[in-house]
Amino acid sequence: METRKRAFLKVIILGDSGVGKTSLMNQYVNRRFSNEYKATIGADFLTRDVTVDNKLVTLQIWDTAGQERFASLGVAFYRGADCCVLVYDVTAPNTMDSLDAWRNEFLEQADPLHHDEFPFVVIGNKTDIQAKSEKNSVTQSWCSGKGNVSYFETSAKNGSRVEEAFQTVAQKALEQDTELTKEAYPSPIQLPQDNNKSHEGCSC
Amino acid sequence: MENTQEFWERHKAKLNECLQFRQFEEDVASFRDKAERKIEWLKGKMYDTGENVKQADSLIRELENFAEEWQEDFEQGELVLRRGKNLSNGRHFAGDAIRRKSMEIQSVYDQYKDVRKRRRQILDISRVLHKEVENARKWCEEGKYLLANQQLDSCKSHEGAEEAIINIDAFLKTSSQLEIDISEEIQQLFEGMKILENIKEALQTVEDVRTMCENRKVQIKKSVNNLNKRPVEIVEPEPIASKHMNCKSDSDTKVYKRSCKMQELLKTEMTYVADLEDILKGYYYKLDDSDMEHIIPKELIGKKDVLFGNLKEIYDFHNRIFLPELQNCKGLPAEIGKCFINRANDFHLYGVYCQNKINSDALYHQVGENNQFFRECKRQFDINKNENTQCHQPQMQPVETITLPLGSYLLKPIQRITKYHLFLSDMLEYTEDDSECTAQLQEALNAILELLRCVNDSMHQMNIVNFPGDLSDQGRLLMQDEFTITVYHRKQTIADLRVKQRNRHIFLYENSILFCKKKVDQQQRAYFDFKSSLKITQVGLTENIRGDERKFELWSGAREDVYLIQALNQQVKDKWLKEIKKCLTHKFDHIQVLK
Repeated sequence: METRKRAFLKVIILGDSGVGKTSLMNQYVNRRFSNEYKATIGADFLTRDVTVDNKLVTLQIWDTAGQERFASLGVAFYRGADCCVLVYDVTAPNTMDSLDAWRNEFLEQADPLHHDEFPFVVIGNKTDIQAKSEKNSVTQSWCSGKGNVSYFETSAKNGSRVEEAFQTVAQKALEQDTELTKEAYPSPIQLPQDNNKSHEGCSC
Repeated sequence: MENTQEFWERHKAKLNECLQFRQFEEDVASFRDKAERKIEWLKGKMYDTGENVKQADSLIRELENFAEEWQEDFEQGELVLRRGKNLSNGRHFAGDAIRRKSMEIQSVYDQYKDVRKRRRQILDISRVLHKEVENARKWCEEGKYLLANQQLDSCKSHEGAEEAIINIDAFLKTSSQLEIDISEEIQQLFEGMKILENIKEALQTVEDVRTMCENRKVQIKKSVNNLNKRPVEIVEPEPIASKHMNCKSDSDTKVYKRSCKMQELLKTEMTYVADLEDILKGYYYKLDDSDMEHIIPKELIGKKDVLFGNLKEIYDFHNRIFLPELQNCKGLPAEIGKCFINRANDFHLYGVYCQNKINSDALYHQVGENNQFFRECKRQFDINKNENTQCHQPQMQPVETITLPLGSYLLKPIQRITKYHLFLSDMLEYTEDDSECTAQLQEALNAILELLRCVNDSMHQMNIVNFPGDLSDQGRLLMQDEFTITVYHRKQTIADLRVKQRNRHIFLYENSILFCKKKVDQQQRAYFDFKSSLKITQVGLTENIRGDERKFELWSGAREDVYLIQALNQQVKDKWLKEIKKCLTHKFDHIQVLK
């Protein structure tokens, strides 16, 4: 019955400052990366229509750049997310070490129904600078140890693997959304009691 | 007899010499007078630069004529000098005086030459500057003409839009010839003069026209985007004319990038204000709309302030104050810095908004996104949006604009407030060799980061439980962090003296210091269980504790309760000490005033 209604999927991008969250988002939505002028924001929140399993869905992507050091302010954004993208910089190994903290922060604050099954996509960005992450194997094993986590290495600069990564994000978000809808369904519709009738006769 | 004859001869010769000398003196005086008058006249006219190239040209001609006229006088002066030389060469009784007078003429004459030379220099420089200003003005006129004559309707097709953008870009490229040299030397030379004002004005107009062009490009792109059936707003990063960039020096590139940043700040600020307006029109005022009354869920009745918090105030602030002020900065980075510094206090509106967001979320969740009222608002909202897009593009097929649910829009203020510091630090990065500008931007950045820290910290206090008083009486929350503390009570017995370290979350308010224990509830959410507090008016501080630079002491009254506090590291401690001391002095001053 919901087939005609388009799904809005909420995606949130987390990661340390400077790993390329905004650039990834702008590359994915505008297919553009500017070396000369890097937009600070680009856009507040971006949406893009994607087809997943023959279904048209709208991804609503929230960039959290600028909020990194102000965790309490991020909380409002986490709620209701259908998928969380964790980004690190392959040329800065310490940003990979933060993944754990970001994941925990997200789970604690967003508090999704099943912590272990919530979908994450980990992105190692900036492969244009360094073709392969030193931490590739570490990250791989981190991801496989955390349940529902996929891993991509991308370049927001030349667009490499960005489409694939977000396609997976959309896929996972849709699965998560359907899962939740299933669990919440069927919710009985409460019809308001029509009390007017009993008053009808008395009013005159 | 002969003696008498001799005497008369000598006397006559002497009288002649006297006459010559007097004559000479007179000539000198007359020359000097004339020369000095000319010098005065030149000096008086020195900074008359004319208003434009034509006037500068006529002033140059005037100076040339003047010099020609002077030529005659100059020749006389030469004669006088030569005569003086002849006189002083013989054994003239007033030889010394004559030489002195000659030197006088020479120096006046030299002075005249200097003044004339300087006058000519100033006129030549002025002429060049006038020419540059005129070029700049001409360019601006051309720009305005170009923009005025662009048919916005023709931009409704991709081709039309592309052509319009190409035209604007081609025009913008020609601005590279508009160099106006206002070196420090020139600034000093013309300090306080109209010509400098003209230059500045011209440069500003050029900047304005550039901004107008960029804005037009954004407008065109936006309308093209609407053609593309893009949902919600897309703010495109600015394309760069890269060929143009490469031939510029590094510092030019930085200045250029900085101006892009400022434009992005301004553009996104306008979008932000428009978005807030959308929320107000689309939802906020609908709660007062009598046509909607019958579908407003009862949970929402009288709860406008809970659902929207102080969004209206935030909108008013940005719409009436902040955006106009940013627009008034005319692309001067230091001015933008000042805007943030001056308005730092107004941004505390966001603290209120963020704190209320939790209640707002709860209410929104309770009412549900899919209730009839929200659905109707969104339906009307979508219709309005689509009408707007369609009236811009009548020839196009109707397109569906998709708007996000209210919940997404309510996040906008929180997102916006966390972006300003990114803009400011980017602008700071692109600023060099301008200490005043750097200082302003740095101060602005600090102010906005401080605000964010405050807002962020104030979110924690939402979770303080078991506090016996009223948190709102404690003033603003200044700092909060985790510490290890040891408490000593004066009245405690020896048995109590076992030193027990505890982890405490400390909240520093303007009026008091709260010690809480961090706990987690069943849903693993953190909250702070209140344990004890100190009033700022009664608190004492020991800054240094021997043996550990991370430690400091707070005590109440006459050291009845002593809190030995250990920070995570020395930086944290220093930050806290600074803030606590500020509180203490502030309170002290306050008390003094009251007395």
